[in-house]
Amino acid sequence: MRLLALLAVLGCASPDASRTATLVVATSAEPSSLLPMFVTETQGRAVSEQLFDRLSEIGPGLNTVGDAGFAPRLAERWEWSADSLRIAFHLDPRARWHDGQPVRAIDVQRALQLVKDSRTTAPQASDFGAIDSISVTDSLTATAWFSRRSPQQFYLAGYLLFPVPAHAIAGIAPDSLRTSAFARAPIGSGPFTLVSWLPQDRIELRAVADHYRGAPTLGRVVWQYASEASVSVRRLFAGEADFMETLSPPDVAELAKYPEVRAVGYPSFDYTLLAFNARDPVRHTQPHPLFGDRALRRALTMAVDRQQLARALFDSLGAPGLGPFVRAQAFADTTIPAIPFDVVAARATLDSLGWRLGANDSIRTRGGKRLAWSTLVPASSKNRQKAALILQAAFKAVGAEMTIEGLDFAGFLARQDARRFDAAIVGWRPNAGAVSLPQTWGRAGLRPGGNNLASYASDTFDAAVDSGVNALSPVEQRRLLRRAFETIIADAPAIWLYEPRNVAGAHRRVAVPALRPDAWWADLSRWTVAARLPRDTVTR
Amino acid sequence: MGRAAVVRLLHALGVIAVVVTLTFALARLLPGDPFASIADHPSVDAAWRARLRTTYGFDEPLLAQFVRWCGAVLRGDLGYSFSAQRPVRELLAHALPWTLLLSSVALTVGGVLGIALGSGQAVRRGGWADRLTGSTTLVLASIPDVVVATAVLVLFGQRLRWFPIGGATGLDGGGAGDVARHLVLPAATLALLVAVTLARFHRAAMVRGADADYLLAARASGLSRWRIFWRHALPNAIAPTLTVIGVLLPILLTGTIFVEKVFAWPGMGSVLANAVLARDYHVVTAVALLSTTAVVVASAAIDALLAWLDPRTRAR
Repeated sequence: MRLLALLAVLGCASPDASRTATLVVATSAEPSSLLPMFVTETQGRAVSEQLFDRLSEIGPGLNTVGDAGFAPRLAERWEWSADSLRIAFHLDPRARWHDGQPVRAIDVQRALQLVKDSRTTAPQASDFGAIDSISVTDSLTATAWFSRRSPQQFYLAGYLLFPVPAHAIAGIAPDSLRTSAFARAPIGSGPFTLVSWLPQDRIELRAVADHYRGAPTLGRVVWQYASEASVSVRRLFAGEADFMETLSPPDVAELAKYPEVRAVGYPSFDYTLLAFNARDPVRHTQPHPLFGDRALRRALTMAVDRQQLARALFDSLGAPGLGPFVRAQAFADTTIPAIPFDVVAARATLDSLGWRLGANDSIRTRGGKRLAWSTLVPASSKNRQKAALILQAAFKAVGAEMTIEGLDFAGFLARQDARRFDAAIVGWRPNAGAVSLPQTWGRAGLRPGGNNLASYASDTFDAAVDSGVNALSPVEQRRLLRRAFETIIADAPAIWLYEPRNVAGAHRRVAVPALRPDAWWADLSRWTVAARLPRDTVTR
Repeated sequence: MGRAAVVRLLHALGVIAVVVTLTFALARLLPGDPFASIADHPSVDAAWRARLRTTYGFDEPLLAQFVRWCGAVLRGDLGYSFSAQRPVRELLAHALPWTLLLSSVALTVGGVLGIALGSGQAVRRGGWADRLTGSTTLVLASIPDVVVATAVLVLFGQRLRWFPIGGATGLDGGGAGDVARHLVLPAATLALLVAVTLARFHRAAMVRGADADYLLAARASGLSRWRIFWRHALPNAIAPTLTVIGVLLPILLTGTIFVEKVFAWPGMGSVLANAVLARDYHVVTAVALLSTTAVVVASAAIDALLAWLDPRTRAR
């Protein structure tokens, strides 16, 4: 009794009291799909991963090598073959689709077939190339077959692959799946089921009371959308929303006026960089007239005080970037030396490269050419725009001129895809594993349509990354990737600008557990909310 | 009469065709494609976006795309929205009623308020009430719309908590009363902006006609001030005001973008704004088709109303 009274006083909720509660999440973008195989963006994953369960869930350390730390989900257990080229997933016999049908091995098999089928146009299809096939051993055992051993075998099959209800999509052609009615109102296996999706307005999910992992501690979850982020913030401050995944630094400062709302910090999986295009933006086979020069890139990196930049943008809620990774990744190494901020050395290097300042000039020239370039910045990102202004001033201080070219996001991406830029301020949100590194920074990503935006090419880096990605122990992976990171940081194909620390806003009636950096929503079905508002009593 | 109607209809269809064709082409001239916003991830590369463009025919020549789109529209298919993940028809069917509700309430309230203010100013021309109202409407008309909308939202939604912040319905399933509560702030904001525009137009129209012979005759015949106002001055001054309302009607269909965005109202303005940013070509072109049709219909309706109100215009 005393405990109940104490809980009431603290505004916390017991799981039982929370079971009728509604959690309202304020956010600014709707999902690109509700089928996980089509979703890459955070907002879409947050919803689709409530509707669909994986075979297994990654551990709190975010390890992606082997199966260490992974917890059972649809698969209650798994077995490796002696040669490690097969993993048999034994499905939980209690697992059901939301239409009551049992989850079967054929659902796992169908998921891989669809993801790998080019007609389906699943964005991360190439990631699944390492899985040859999935066979149905019996109705509750799906066996994944691999052509070669790799450290991320389990991560691919057990975590990235989401089984789909084969019986419900039997009549849908792969090329129609993305635009099908099923993609908008799917039958999933997760702890919540879809009630409605009102375009530009909200998505409402209801708890699955008889879920095989136990009933969620929330009655329903509603994502309320507003394309203006300020509307979402005001909803949170006014108590109309319970949670918002990211608050900007000014919002965090304003939070003090609203005692019923608190800030919840958690590590970020985002990093932002100024990418120097190593290739000529017009004649792609030629090196960039400026940024093809490693020494020049290093000199410009030395001109930027990244500590100050991160502080100016985020105060204490951000840190300088370290390299092509974030601190929260299991293989991150924060001890790798960075190119130091040293304006004197930057000027000296530029002088030595022949970029000289005339008596009355503020911009350096060499052979009649000015040390000047343009940098693409997406107009939708205030942080990146502010960073561009700070960089502009830093480069001016060493006699270099950076003009800022603001574009809306679609235009920015089009120019980025075509590599028609000198430099660009890019934001990345990597997967937990190292698997995308060769694509984003290695020669593998240099092919037309590849993701190596800076056109960075280094044999040393490629070899080290390849070894690191394929290392079969986390310790070995970290060691090998350190070599790769030392190489790329020294080559300066980009200036690693900042890594923000996320601050979510949560109403005090919500008990928020530790948030995972790559997926704040990971334990949403176990959140508790003190049910005391009219919206908590709605039953459907 | 019949021939004139046919000519007018053909003219209207021509206007719609030109606007839609231009929108179709201009939307595709912008850099980017509909798949930009759904693929910002290191694992998703440009090759995948190129494959999507091919799959959905966005890499075909512009003319081929246009012919295909026209054929689909004639079959009642407005295409698929990749930003909203549903057929465009379904998206517009959801958004249009909300915009019509917001616009009709705002236009009615704003129209009545604007005409009342303008009439009041004209009746008391030169007095302190006229000057005060004139200055107030001038100030309000000068403040950027988005500032007015945000101020209303912060004051009445966030600070005073009298009304909900955004959206068209609540989570408690409150029915018509719930919708009305959500409607108050965006409709009041929009109505205020309509009213200040109309008040200035209407005052000018009333003042222009104040010295007309028929009003002189009415006064000379001993009619009361209010009778002169209601029976003679107002009907004669209403024509230019109605013309302005005719111009405002289609603007209210898609031009409510800022109000819809600030108040997260799930209407056509939000649809259009999101579609332009996401390069959602099918949605942009469909909205252009719808809004141009609305312009043409509104224009015809206002002409008919003017002709009914003022017999002199029928012969023109």
